[in-house]
Amino acid sequence: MILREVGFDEVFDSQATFRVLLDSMSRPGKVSQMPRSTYRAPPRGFCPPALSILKTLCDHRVSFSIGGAHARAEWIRYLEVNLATPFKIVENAAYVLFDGGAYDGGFARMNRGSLEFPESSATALLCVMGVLQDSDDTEGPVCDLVLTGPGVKDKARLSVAGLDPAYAAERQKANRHFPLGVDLFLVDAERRVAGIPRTSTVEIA
Amino acid sequence: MTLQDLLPARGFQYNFAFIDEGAKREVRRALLKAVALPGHQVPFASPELPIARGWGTGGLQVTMSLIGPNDVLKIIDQGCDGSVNAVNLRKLLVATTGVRTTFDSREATLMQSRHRLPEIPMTEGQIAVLQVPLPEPLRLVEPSEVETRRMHAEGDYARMWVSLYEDVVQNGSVSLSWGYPCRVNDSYIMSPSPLPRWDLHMLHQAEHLTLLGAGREKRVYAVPPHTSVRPLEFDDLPFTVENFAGLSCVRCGSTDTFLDEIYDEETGKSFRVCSDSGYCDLVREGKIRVRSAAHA
Amino acid sequence: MGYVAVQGGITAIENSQKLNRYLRLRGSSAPVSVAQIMDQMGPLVDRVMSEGGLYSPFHAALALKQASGDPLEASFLLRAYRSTLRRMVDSLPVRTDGMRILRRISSAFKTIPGGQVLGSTSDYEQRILDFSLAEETEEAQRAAVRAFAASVATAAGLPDAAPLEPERFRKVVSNLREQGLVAPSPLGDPGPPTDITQESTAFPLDRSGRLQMLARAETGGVLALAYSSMRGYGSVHPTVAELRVGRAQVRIPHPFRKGEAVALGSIVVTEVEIVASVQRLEGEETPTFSLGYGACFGHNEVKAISTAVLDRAMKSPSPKDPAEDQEFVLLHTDGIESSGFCSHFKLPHYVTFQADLDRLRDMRGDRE
Repeated sequence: MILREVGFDEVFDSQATFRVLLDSMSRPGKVSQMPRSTYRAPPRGFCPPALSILKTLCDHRVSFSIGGAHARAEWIRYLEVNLATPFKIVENAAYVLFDGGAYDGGFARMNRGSLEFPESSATALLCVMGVLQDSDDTEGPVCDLVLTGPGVKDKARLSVAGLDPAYAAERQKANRHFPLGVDLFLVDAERRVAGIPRTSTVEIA
Repeated sequence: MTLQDLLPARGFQYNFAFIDEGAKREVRRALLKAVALPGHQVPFASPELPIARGWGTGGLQVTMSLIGPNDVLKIIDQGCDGSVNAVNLRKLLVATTGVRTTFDSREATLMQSRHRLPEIPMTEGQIAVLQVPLPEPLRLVEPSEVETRRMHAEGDYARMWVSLYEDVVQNGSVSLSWGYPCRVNDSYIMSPSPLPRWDLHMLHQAEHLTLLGAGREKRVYAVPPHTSVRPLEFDDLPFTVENFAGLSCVRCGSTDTFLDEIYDEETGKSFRVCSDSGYCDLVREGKIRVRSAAHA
Repeated sequence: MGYVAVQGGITAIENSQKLNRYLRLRGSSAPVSVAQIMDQMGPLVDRVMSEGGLYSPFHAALALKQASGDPLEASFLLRAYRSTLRRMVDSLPVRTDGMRILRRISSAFKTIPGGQVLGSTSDYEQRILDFSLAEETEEAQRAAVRAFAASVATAAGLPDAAPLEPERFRKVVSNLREQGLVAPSPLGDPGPPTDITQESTAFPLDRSGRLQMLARAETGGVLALAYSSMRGYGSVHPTVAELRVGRAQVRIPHPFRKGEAVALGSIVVTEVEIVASVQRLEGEETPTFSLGYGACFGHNEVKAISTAVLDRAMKSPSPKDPAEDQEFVLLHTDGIESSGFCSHFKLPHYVTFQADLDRLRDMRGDRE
């Protein structure tokens, strides 16, 4: 039975979460912490802070999808119940959730917008093991990213644990014809988030 | 059914920050995209507010979508907190949020403004929200929205440059005064809102985020921090700001701020006062030192 | 805080509001009631409902009272109120061919199926000021109402009471369609209409968006532009195929009985279909008449005719006159937006003006 979560206040948690998201997208590579919400029954493997992001941004006027959706029927139902937002295939969805640890081909099929309406492109949420400012903070393999571009003073360094580097490569391809492109958030289970707009140049160190 | 049945049971209840959550979500989605596309105008539905169109509904919807109970809010119009319209907007926001307000720009986490940025550069913890009447800088040369959209899409700004060139030929220099068109991130041409030339440098490589809202025209756009914002200029005719040489503020003595031209109510004599009333007060109260360097 | 201006600003606004109220109430007349406005100022209430985009005679009348009769201000109040209301459900399309007719005429033919119903109109009144109205008493009012009721043969003769069979009044345009003189209705489901109040829209706008914008456009604005088209800045020479005013039912899908509908009530609507110049549609061999459609809340014929003319004008394949330009028509006829922007010029602009002064003085070589 899919539970409708009540641990997220539509007014105040949305507002606080949004300010973190706005700050993250404005300052690529800066790691921020989202406010806490208590979710009682997220499906196994689901990263609960991703629900906070989706609840902040989604409603019946947009749509969501999941990379590798065929394997995640339970997740789809959970999100449909908790977002009141229609599920669409990756090509047509505004917000797409991915397992950052394993590259999914859906990432390459997301909507990149049009020259006249570049804002109509999708936004990706990559759930990873750790979104860290400094790679010393963790053990295990990390992707060290160096970001430059709008919102970044000189360079920003981001260490992401559990990120398949194929996402970085595909992101570069998807964003090579500005203003077309996709924007993304990295999020982990500890509510840490970082934003990477299409304007960022990302190099893997 | 009687007329009595139509009266609301408990009087009118405001949502926090007035607009409904659906309206806030739409603005928030648009702002995230705007930040990812510096200088590009993102359309939004912009439903009506109890404030008239043209009086700051765009800036207001942005502020209403951002503001939380812990924010500290400053609202200015022409640089002044006491301006009648700033007072009115402040009243609405305070009534629907209960937030603390300030006239000291250094204390504000959110600053909504019509036509000015504060003299003290804003920092990382602050967001500027600018009210915009006419978001489309290309309206100078093209009345059709369909056509200006195409021009932006194709980066086809030739007619804009021709217009500036013709201005120089006719007037000796670019006669555009406020709302001077700027190139953002070497990409989109943007209207900085009706800021005087004086303020434009504060958008360039700023520490703070600037969001711009046009309610009547139904567009939002953004300048992220650490982003280039360059007024359109010719290589041999550099961009200049307003000239206040030899003038100073009669209240605080500043010689390096944007100065209002005031005519005394009794004597009719003209004198100058800082447009940024909050800054002027801080100098008068000795809380900050007057900058010794001339305007950079 | 040294700036006197702050306190002065708040006090000035509060005093202005007190003054407004005083000016509205200081006369020796009794306060006008919302009911009086609803009953006796019908066309004004209808206009405000239409431009406010909310069908509620009570709220429109209340807005008019608050605005002391200013229709632009009242429409603004209503629009702002509408924004705060929760959207529950979309109605099913309102069937105007099933309307309970209050008035129905056609200029295209002398007689039409179901007949020409003159109904209530000021079209044929002599515009001579009636000074007796200055002393209309309640007694005279009651007597007039009694006399009218007595003069109609049955209760069925009273407006709104008559169950005039809608099927009697077959649409004139249907006849023209049957004869192939007007293009057939497009086939297939057009899909849900755009909602201009909830979605951002872009030009070129689809027809549902254009008609919505026209439906809540300001009467004077659409009249001026339609007039320009009729008079010479355009080639729309309309014939009114049908103008109908009546009560149309508003129905919503039944909340739990699939396939059924629930009637919520009825609204008064004015609808105009004009037939205009001959056209040859893309891919069609035979020419047909082109159509223009206008509809609005309440009884407002000038607006409905004007919007029908503009609907037709905006379909022009190669627009050259202002009324044919979608952006020109739709962006400049919303009363709330246009009056708001017009009024905003009263706001302080002294910083931007100082910037202008600086430029001009520079060009002239003057300096203080």
